[in-house]
Amino acid sequence: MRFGRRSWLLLLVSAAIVAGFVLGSDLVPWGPSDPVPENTTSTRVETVDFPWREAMFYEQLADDKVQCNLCFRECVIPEGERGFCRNRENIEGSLFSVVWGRPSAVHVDPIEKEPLHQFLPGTKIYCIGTAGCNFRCSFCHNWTLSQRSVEEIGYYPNSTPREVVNTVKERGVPTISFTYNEPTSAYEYLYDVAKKAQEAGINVVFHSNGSMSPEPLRELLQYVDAVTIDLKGFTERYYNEILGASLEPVLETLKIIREEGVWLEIVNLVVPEENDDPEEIRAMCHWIVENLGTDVPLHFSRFFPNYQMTHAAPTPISTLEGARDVAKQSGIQYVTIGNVPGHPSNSTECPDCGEILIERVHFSVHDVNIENGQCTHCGHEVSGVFQ
Amino acid sequence: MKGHPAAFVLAAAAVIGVVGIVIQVLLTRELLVVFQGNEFTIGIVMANWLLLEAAGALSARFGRSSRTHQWFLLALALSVLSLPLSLYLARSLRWFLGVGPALSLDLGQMAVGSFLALAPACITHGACFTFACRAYNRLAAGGKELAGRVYVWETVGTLVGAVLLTGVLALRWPAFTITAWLAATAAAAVVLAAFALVSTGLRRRWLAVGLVLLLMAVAAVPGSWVARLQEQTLALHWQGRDVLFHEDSYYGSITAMETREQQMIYYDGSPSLIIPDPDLERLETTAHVSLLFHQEPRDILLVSGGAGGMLQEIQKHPMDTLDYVELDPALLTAAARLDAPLVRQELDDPRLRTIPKDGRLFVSSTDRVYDAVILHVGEPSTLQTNRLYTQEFFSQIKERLRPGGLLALTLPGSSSHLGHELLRLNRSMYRTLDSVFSHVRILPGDINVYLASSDHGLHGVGPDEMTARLRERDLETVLVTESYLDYRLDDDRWSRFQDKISDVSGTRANTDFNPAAVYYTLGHWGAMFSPQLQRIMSALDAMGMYQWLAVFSFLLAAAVLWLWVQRRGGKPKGVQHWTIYGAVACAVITTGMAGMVLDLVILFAFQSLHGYVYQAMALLIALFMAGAAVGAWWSGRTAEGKQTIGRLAAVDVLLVAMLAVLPQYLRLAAASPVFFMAASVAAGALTGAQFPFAASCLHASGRPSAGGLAYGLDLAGGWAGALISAVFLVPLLGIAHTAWVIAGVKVLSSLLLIGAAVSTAGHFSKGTIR
Ligand code: SF4
Ligand SMILES: [Zn+2]
Repeated sequence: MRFGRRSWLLLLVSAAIVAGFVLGSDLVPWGPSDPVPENTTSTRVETVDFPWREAMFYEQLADDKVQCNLCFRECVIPEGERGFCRNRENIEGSLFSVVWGRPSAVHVDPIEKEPLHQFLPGTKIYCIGTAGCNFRCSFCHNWTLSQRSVEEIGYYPNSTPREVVNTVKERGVPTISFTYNEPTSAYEYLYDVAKKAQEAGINVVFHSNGSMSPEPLRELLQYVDAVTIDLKGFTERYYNEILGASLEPVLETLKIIREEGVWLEIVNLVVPEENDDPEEIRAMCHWIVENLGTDVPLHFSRFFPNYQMTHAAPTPISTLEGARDVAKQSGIQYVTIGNVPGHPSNSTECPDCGEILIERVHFSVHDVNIENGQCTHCGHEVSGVFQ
Repeated sequence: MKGHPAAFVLAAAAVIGVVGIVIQVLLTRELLVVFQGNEFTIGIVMANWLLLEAAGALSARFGRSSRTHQWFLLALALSVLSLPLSLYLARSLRWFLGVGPALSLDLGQMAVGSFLALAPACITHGACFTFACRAYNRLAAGGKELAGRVYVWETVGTLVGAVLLTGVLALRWPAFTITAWLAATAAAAVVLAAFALVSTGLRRRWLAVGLVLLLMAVAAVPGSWVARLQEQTLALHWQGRDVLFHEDSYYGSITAMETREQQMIYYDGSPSLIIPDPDLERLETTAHVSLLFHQEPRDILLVSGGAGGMLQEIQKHPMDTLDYVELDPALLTAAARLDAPLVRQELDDPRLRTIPKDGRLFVSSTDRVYDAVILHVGEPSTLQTNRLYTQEFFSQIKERLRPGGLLALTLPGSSSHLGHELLRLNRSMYRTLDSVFSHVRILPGDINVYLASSDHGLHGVGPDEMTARLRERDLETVLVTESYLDYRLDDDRWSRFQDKISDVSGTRANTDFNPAAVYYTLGHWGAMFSPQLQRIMSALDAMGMYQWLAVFSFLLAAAVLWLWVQRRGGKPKGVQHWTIYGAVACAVITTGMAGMVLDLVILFAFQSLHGYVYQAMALLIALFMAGAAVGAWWSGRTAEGKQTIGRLAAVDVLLVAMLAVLPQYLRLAAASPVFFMAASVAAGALTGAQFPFAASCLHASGRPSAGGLAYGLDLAGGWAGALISAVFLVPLLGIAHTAWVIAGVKVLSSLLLIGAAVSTAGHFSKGTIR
């Protein structure tokens, strides 16, 4: 028997047909029987449908471009594209928010988790987070939210501001919080929720990296009751290299919040060998005292790498205690240490008599020694919101 | 002495063999520590190894043949220097790549980094071998091809090296000490070869070179040089961190560090112990939430991660015995060396029994039973840790639980948002537990706690009951309090997470041979550090075994078709030639691939089942190479004449059979490493046997320099096999299906060969081709 070229071809073709038949039939399990579900929240959305809410604070430029003036980046966005934060899209020369009414994370948490220590201690907050952020922090804890677009992670439907406020009222939670990701990137959503909430007598707070531009910030603060700002470090180098951002706008933000008379607390995440230099911390505390006064609570937070997966070292407790001491020496009245469950400085001390004002372990409040805004031991006037 | 210079070349070849295997395993291990990589990275290292060896062999072509002996000496001398150089590069790679110790490396950085580090040792090794062959040929045979003998001696050296290394690793020498001895051996070979190979005038010079090198190497062993290099590279790796001490144990690499009052022990590059202020949330959650679920835990087993607070937390419960299994006793010694009161206290507890043993080995061999088994292992990001998260292991644990007993483990979670990748990991684990235990409970949070039991009582426990037990047992806890339990067990807060995790459709269960959790864990980190690659992986995730086979078949068909088109208008000699040529070329390239896949499958399976692959690696690889030598020798004797192509096809068919049965065989043979060794020899023999047949067939089909061509094709196949299987196939399909995909590919190549054999049978017998 001899195989010619033609026979070969015949062989190949018939083999291909047989293979195709076998592989195409149901006899053969083709990998996983059902596709891997992509949705990570409730609804997977390929395109986010209209109507979108038009963005505030932007200007139209030539060639259908727009400039967003919401945060320090001032993105110039060509038609059909989005800003740095992934949340604002230019459609035919108008800017729209993609995440308005589309939260990707919604939970009820203790307010201590915010952290917000001198604002209705021991109460709950209704937390809302969306996709997107205008920073790029290397150690972001919520990167699955902040470094993704809403299409990638999905969102909870039925979350217009009106629906949110109704739900919160029904559940009897006193406060709404925009947290987890950067609220700036969901500005209009936050703004509309805050307005509605104020009408309904619900508090609104948010936790931000402090990079919102002054004008939108002032506009928003009219409807807001308290703000937590991350002052992540005190050098431009740290903000540039580790966070992909800038320090100056954050300082500006802190001053404005104070000026507008909205309750403010500051968080400083101490990362070993990055921003733990005592001199840097001293400079930061001096700045706070000079520009914001002594009664803005300051929280030093322990950095913890994701366990077992990175080489990074957690912050030594003595570093945190050193930072606390520096802050107290600088005159800051309320200093706590977070992310070290059970540390005595989880609790807020009275700056006058040194007794415990609010006893905390991690996120739970065990005791509050404040009556009518005064220390029950010595009568010291405690700043904050307690009713 | 002058009488048998050829014998000296053979001796040198043996030394080259020793050096090759030892440095290969040593560098692989160092690179994995530097990468914090998992075992799949071995594939990348192996692929680079193949390429660089080939480059070394090629570079040897350029020496003028009248000076072969001098070139040989030069290559040997360079190899002495290249060994410490490669090790140095490997250990300080993070510094060279500019990646700090806190950041993960992506695949590209690993590929480039290992290429750079391997280059010096690997290129000189390849060159040495080639020059040895040429030198031997000149001396012994006056030009006749006798390279086979050099090959045999090199293989003998490889085996000896593997055995030696296995012994030396147990001594826990620092890598630089081993390398210094290795360099001394190579330098001794320079001296010997200088005696034998070069004429009087040159001899003196080369002797001097050899002796100087030898002295340097030997002097380095006890001296401060080894220590200095070891320290220097350590400092470059940790880039300014305060290293207290470092040790390479039998199972891993241990580094202790200090930042202010805080001391840490890193195991294989990841933090495993932090004192005096451990990650309390993790410890308390893992220990207390799980133990409070049990009504009365009297006998407890803790698998791994005990020293540094975990034992202490467990010991707070009123119980009778606590068995603590830790794979690496060196970790406990290191923990004790820090002399922290916490560690001393917890290890001194009279109820504690420390068992320095592999967790799996212990659980499968003990007859004790427990009320609670707690796994505290670290994420399943490597086969080494993953073996404590598989269905097989869970089944063994189930056997050791008393009625009402429970198994507890934790995985990373999130209290705000579980990303897609993390969700897959959690689903996979839930599915795995659910396939073994009739009751599984998830407590979501930043740390997800999983509880599994054969008893339905697991579902009835609520926060009130747990708080009551907390009081009753009088536990001194910081974080785990009434309000914390209320929070962690609040169905309202967490039900969405629970629903999402327990919806496991489309997620693979985690088994020894299909280590899905490793892939999902890597995916979680991949999504953070290299989202592009992760997207590709996710897209490929949908492909099963048959789709992969279809892709490979398509590639193979395309290659054959291409050859056909190429040859169509060409040589008048006609059909038979390209038929044979094409079929044999396909056979060689797929065999190269199959050989590498067999090698890796054996290594990965060994790691999954036994968990100490770095000790066994040298032997397994050496035995594979020895098998290849034996196979090549056997087939080399018969690789002429008309039956050659038939024999080639027969070997191909045997390879198919081996690939098909190997996974099942290894699973059944799990009990004894000897079976793995036998499999290595067999896999090597089949791979090696094909080569002479193929070269002969290619020669017969009219290819000039058929040996070189076969060599190149084999190399290409091996390279592709290592990369594809380690990066895609094993992570996505598991070990067994990977072997079967390649078996399928070999089926196709066998069919081609048989077809070619049949179609050209007439021509062979007529003697037109020979
Ligand atoms: S809010 Fe977003 S789009 Fe606007 S400037 Fe900032 S990053 Fe750019
Ligand atoms: Zn007071």
